[in-house]
Amino acid sequence: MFAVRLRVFVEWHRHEERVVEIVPPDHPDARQVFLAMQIDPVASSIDDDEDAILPVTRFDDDTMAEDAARRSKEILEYQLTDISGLGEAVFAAVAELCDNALDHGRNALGAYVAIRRVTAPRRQVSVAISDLGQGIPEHIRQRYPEWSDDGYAIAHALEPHVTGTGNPHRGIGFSDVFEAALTKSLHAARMDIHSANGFCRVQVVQEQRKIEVFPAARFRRGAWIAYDLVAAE
Amino acid sequence: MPYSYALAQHGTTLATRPFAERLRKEVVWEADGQKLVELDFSGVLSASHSFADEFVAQMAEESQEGEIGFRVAVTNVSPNVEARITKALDLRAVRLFELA
Repeated sequence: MFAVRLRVFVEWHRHEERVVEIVPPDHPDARQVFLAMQIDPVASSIDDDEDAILPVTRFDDDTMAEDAARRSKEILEYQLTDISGLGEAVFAAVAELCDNALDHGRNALGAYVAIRRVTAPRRQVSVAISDLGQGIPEHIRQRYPEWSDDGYAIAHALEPHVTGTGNPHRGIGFSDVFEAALTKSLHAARMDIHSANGFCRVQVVQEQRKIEVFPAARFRRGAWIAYDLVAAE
Repeated sequence: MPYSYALAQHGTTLATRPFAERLRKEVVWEADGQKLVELDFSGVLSASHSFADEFVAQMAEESQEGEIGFRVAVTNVSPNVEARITKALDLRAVRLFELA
């Protein structure tokens, strides 16, 4: 998520026609991640870092979202065999969350997705998706204006059939993401959702889902989702 | 001979609701006048819930309600994709035509 936040920060200020100068980190490991994840969109990048499953990628139409979901599944299942069992779960997460970002988070900057493998202390895949749209609480309050607390509005948005669209067949995306994660390849999953003044954390362990709402440290425009899937040993 | 639409021409993974909507409209337009449409999923490895709902379940619902003139069946569907389609159909309480 840190890579996505930096990239959005850079592109937002450039979009506002401000000059942003980026100095890459000196430390070789940090520099490798910086270049592999394409945090600076105009800097040269490297593609020999196999942990960078998908560098920070801007998308503003469904074709690009579809491509991100397909690429992440293919890389996980055919190249990273130690975590290939998480391929379908990552596909479902990228497909549904990118769909949401496009649908509810429309913004001139589009939306962003990044996926990275982490190998220590445990093998896991980290997915980050963000947009600078209206945010989840405001979207949900189009149908449920009584949910005034942002954190609880996000928590309710995770329930099946809760959607701000008014379409009774919508609002299944989040629950499908968590269902897709329930494979024997998964040890645990955690999703952190920041939007407006709300912060909601979902933990999935042994088929149990725990949802917690915390006070947000600060207001965040749009929706910022970090989803970590830890592989079973 | 039913009209058959091969999903694999669009790739091995199928995702997003807007994409599904475009394909559904394409099938409805191309299959105008047909009695039965087979959605052929051979070669498709994954489909998101949103895709399954917007493409298959929505088309099945339109067929069941008589908005389109043909029945809808799926063929060569992987267990993984079938689970998503079944869930989407159940949530709309609609069924596909079952081929003999």
